[in-house]
Amino acid sequence: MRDARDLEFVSRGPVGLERLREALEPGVRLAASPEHAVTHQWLDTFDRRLRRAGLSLELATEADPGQPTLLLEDRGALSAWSAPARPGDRAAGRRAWRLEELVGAGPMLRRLAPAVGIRALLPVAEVSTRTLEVRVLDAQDKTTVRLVVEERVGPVAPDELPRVRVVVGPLTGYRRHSDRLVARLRRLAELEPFSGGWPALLPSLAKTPAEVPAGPRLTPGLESAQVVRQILARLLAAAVANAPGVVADWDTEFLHDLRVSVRRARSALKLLGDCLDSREASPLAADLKWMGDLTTPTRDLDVHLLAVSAGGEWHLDPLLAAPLVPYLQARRAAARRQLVRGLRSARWNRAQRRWEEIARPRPPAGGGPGAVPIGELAGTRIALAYRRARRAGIHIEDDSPPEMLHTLRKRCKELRYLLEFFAPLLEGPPFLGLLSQLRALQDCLGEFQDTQVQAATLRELAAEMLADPTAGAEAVMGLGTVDQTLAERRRRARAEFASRFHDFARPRTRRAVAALQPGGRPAPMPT
Amino acid sequence: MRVVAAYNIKGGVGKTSAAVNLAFLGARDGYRTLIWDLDPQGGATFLFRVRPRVKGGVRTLVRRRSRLAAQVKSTDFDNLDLLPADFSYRNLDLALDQARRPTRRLAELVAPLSDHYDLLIMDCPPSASLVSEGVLRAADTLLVPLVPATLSLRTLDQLTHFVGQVKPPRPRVLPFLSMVDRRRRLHRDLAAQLRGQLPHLARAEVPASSAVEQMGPRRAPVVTFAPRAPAAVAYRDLWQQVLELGER
Repeated sequence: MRDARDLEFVSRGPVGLERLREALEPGVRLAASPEHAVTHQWLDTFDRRLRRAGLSLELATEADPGQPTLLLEDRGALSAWSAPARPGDRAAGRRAWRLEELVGAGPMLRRLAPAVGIRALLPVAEVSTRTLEVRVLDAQDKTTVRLVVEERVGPVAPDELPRVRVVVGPLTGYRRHSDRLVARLRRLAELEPFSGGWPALLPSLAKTPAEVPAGPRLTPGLESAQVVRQILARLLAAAVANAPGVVADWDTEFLHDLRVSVRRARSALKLLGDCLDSREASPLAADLKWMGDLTTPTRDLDVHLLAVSAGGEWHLDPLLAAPLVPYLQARRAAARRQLVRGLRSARWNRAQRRWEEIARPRPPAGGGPGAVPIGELAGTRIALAYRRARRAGIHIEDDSPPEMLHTLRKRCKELRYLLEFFAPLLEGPPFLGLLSQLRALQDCLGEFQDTQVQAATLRELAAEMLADPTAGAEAVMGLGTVDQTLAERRRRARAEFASRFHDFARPRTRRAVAALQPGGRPAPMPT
Repeated sequence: MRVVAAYNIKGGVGKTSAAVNLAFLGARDGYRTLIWDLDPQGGATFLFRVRPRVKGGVRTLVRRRSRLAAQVKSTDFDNLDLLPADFSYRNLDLALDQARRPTRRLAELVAPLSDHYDLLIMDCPPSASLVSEGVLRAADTLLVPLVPATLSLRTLDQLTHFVGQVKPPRPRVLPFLSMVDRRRRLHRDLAAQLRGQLPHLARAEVPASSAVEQMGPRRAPVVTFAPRAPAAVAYRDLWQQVLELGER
């Protein structure tokens, strides 16, 4: 097995086999494979889940038809291994893969699946090389060290950057051999030690997906209007970055993240929009509502499809799920056509331009409601949102209608968004305490409402399927079992509500809210 | 980590060839694979061109004075490592006998390897001894090559009885026909008879072939240098069955 601690060198000029022989001999027997062209693509999810898990996945495709290979480096376990890849016909031009279609069953799929989840793998960097593989042999013709010389081809980077990468791959049990080889390579003047591979060597290789910029640092003295514009700009960047993935249908998370950006932007306008010119804010609020509504049908069907899939939330027997999946997929395909039409429409473009315009940075206004320092505004708005949430929940009894819990959930979401917008200003125990109580309450309310919505959808589906001669009776029966499970989950969530809300509304949490005053005096305790 | 042992009480039936080829196929399919050559003759070690030596010998290994992982050598193939044989393995029985919980010791020794490997293939010496008992405790699949001979069924009976005596969990036994010469009527008849009597016999049938014999001079698995040879096809089929068995 190859040790993940490869030793790398780079060179600005070519390093041929003869030069290596010269440097390594005498006493070292080399065997080289013919030079061949290789395209290397580094894959990751849009939100870089592999990088965060300490993994690096490379798809190496040789120009001569052959089996493309996946190379996985697990930096935590200091191990590297390979597996055959099944990238389809157009490996180099392809923009996204589902993990299971690329890797196939086996241990690499098992290692990657928890990190990748439901996301697609996208190429995040690519380089083409002419590659020479050299093996150092012992007296038994056994390979003791592998040496790879890669010379990049194509106009991928300025010429002052290294063109050649030499990698010494130490083999388990032969470390002394590789150490000796490395010592000799160090004597070559044209080689410089390096680590990190091509993507580290040529950061310009990193291409799709675009990462959402973090934005300037939030400080309590900034004008509120400036901060609200920054928030809207960040949300717009996230929405724009996710839109191509929605259109191409790479994975369902692109649509989810696009919806979250739109929803947060709506909330930002609702809760903080008075800092901006209402002539700009009002039309955008209407646009954002339209954008959100456009995405709802497809997202709902995504949620149902995920729930009926193997290991999904509904824990449906595969035999019962089998007829449901194509039925839902057909509905989703129809919903997606509408969605894509909407995303490509003039109205979407107009809304996006309006969003860009309102988010455009401007000099401080110096007066008016937008000039209030954000440190002052953040605390009062959070206290107000908390008070609204508390009031929405305080009269909920065991037999209250579900609509009251739904209203409370909306108020909680607004509070949560405010806390997230202003998080950099609010770090500290009161903030973390409030966030934790709020999360617990939101989880409970989410479970209650989601199971209720899902149950209603199930009944709708069952009615539609009963009327549809192609749907089959097994699918409708399957829905019946799911309905019971959802009812039990909803009952449990409802039973938990009182204690979760009690924690959220108790004086200790109210004191935490009152203490959230970035750069200002503590507010009076919310009632 | 799956642990597959190529085992038979009888020698010269194709254990090492099966172990070496299956280890290669597992590695090629992306399984981080280790082959442990437990046979003091060191056939697998020779085929992978590694020096047959374990630092400190078998006693040190069994007494856990050296970690098993420290003895591992890479082979020339991606994802495939080898724990080499050592002539001192002829005393493995004695060394195990002197250890505490002798029948569990091999399983205890390999357990830490599961962090680094997905598949361990044990190439076992031919015997019914303490080493064999240890192998049965460590393995989840027992791959048993059977040559088409009158005594093969009897040998399999003995082996099945031996496995039955081991404390659960016991390995699944996957017998397969090995070194079959279809030109010989006796082989054809006995192969048919074994297939009739053993419903769990693997569908793969490894022929007696010069390609398998070539593994010696070429020092490589047959699937690497003669991938279309009937023996290579049979080993691929056998590997598929081993995989299917693991999924059940």
